[in-house]
Amino acid sequence: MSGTTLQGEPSVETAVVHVVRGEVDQAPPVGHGRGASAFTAPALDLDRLVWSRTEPGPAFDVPSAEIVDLLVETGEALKADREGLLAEALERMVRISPLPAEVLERAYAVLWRSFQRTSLHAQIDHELGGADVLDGWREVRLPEGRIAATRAFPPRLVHIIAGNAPGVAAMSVVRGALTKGVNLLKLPSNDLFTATAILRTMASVAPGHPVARSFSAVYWRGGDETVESVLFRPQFFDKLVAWGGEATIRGALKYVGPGFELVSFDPKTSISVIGREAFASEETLRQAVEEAASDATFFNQQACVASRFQFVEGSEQDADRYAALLCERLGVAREFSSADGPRVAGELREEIDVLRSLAPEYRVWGAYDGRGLVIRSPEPVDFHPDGKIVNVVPVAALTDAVTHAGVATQTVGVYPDTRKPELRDALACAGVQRVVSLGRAGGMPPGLSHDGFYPLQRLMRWVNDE
Amino acid sequence: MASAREQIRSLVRSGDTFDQSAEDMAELQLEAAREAFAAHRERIPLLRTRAEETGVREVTGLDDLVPLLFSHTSYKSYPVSLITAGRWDRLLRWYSTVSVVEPDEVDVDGVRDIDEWTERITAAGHRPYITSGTSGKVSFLNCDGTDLRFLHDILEHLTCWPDPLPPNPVRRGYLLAPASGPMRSIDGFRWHADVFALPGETRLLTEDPMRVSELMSSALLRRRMAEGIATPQEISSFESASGSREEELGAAMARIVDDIAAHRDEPLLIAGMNNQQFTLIQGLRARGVPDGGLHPDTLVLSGGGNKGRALPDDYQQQFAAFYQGVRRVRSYGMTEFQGSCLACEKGNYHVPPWVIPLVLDQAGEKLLNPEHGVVEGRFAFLDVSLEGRWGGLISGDRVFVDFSPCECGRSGPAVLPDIQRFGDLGGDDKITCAATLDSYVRGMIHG
Repeated sequence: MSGTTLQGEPSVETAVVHVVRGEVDQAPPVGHGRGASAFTAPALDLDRLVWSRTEPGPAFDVPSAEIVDLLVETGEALKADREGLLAEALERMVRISPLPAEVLERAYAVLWRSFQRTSLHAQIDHELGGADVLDGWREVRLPEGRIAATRAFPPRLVHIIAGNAPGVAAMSVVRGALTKGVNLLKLPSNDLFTATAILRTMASVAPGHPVARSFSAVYWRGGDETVESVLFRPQFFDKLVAWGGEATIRGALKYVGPGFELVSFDPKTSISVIGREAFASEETLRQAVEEAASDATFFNQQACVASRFQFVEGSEQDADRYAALLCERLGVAREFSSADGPRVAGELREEIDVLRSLAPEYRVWGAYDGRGLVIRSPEPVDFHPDGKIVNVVPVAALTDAVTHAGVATQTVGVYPDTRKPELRDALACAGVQRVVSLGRAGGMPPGLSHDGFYPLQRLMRWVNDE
Repeated sequence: MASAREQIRSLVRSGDTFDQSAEDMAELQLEAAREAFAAHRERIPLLRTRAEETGVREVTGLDDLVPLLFSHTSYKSYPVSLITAGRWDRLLRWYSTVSVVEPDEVDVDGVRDIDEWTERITAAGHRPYITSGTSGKVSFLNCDGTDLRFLHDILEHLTCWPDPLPPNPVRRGYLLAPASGPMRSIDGFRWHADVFALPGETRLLTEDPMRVSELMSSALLRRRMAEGIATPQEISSFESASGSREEELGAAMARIVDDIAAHRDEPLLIAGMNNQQFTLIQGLRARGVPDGGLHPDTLVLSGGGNKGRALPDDYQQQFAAFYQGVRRVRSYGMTEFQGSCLACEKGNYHVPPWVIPLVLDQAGEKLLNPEHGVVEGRFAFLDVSLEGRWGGLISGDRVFVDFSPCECGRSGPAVLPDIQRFGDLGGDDKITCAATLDSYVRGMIHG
């Protein structure tokens, strides 16, 4: 073996920062990952990642009003980014994320929105019925006239967060803070920086604040049994809050048992249904296409709310008109997407090339350059459209589209709004969780359910005094 | 003068297939690649599209081949609905875009299922070899008559290379496989039995043919589940059908174990995929057959991905220990190219001359082939011998290929023994909330 030329040795390693109990961890770094995606992160001290059950967590008794104030201030600080923490995270993120820099920049620029006072109150009020049950014991009158009390007690949570959209980290910090509980965040390899930047910003706003001390954010390789078999125990945590990733959820299941519960934001996919009203005029068609393109390109289609299959009520010719226009509009930069997306991967490209040759049953618009591609087919394609690819399927009636929604379907965008009432029960029956006006798939409003449940309510430990 | 492709094919009978000078070979291979590209571009629409799209008009060097490589998914890029809806003419049209088969060559009138469709293509002089993955959707890899004859030549001249086995039919045969079916391994086992086993003395795991529809049943059920029309009873029947099939095969395996134990002092031919081989070895050990306890003229053929069922990490060592002293075919290969890379005395897998190895980066985009030395990357190749389809493909294997002369004295290139699937090296640990229905049904179908 002379003259070995091993490929893929990293030239510059990225250093990942850990936050442990609100402070930047100073432990010596160890290496992770292979090749160009290699990085270093501080060695884990497992003892410091748990909070003893013999004492309450740091923020258990902090009034929610004070937490809301802290979050709002954190939001302001994120907006200003005076210490450049977000800028630093963004700069590192650009190197590892499949999302283009401009999309990440715009996503980082609006991270503060999750920390707005109105949205924090909306979550407390709609999901828990008010702050009283969070700050103390709410009196409940029982059927026999007895008085009991109930409290949303702070939980001990370990979060496995998704890395396909930076907002997930913000949402996880907000929810974790509002619970007053203790929170260990596991960083995903496609977002090693956002959560820690937010937590460091929080710590800079209020150094040593009990809420800041209630958070750690560290990396370990997902599924690493030497870490997970130790931490995922009811002695240390009440619930595992896991986002997406089939492997993650299946891996987590083996630890779930009495006293250690799984709260899963399941992996999902989303679709759109477009009524024949879209073809009433050139203007309505353009409007529908614009909204549909916006839904399809959310985070360049990396997010679960991004529409991938669009069912058009009309003839093949109608669907073709729609598809051609849609393809044009996919290649337009929007708040959460760029004009250019990732090039279509080789394997998908071949599947699409083959469909091209099956014309006229199949028709394809666009190229593989990442600016958007639309396939019109008699029924949904077998593969998963990804990276600004939309599959347009003509249907005789929108109710026919319902058969293509299932338990994995999260969001269904409908055009026009007036068609929602006729579809929403059937869609819900099929397993769908959100029915939205076309163009509204991105940015879930705070205070509503998520994946079929109210997260804040589900994260709390509900304790009674009877 | 014979074409470059014919010259390369003829090396299989030359007696020094793997002893070619690297320089001469490189030149001949490039010429053969040009010929293959020119011939297949005319007949295979997918290759034509690819050539036009990437602007590759001719092959001037190996770099030109990289954009022309297909991925393994091309051979299963048909919509499953064509099968569930019985649109056999459409499926044939699909097949004609990825192979040299022309739609009007094959009569699909009255075809009732995917097995009949496969048989009709065979009847037209082609062999659509299938490979299956865990999704249940199978690939159809076309071979024509030339390809089949070439495969036969390989087994006759190169079995047990570097110490080829004379083609004498003297062994008691055991094929741990179905009686027939469009799988290259099944054909290969049978042909080996024809050449190396006593006539009429070959036992099969089952007399039933392997059915494509059965292999695809999980893909078809998956589709019905995705459509929300699969019933619990249907899912249950699927589970119990595979259960009782396993029981039958278990009983058949037990009979074979008994027979081998009784005849272990005679020369045997034992052919089977790794999973079956492993079960067999466990059975034989349980019957008290010791490691190295078989007749030295025994020929053992094994191989195949470890799909669906996990073998222990050390299964290769266990095979080597149990089969010590017998003749084993040790190779690295895949249905996607003809023959396989055969192990030399030093245990390195020599790439046959008709296969041009193209070591790519993990993304499968950049050619890393060095002049000399070892390079790590994704195994891709162009098999210039293939007539029935375009032989350029990117695999999922992470390999180390040595382009320097091997320690055995022959010039390379050789694939080193440390071969893994990129998928098995661990995912990339990226977590996203976007996924498909697959995540929801997989657990139910595959446990």
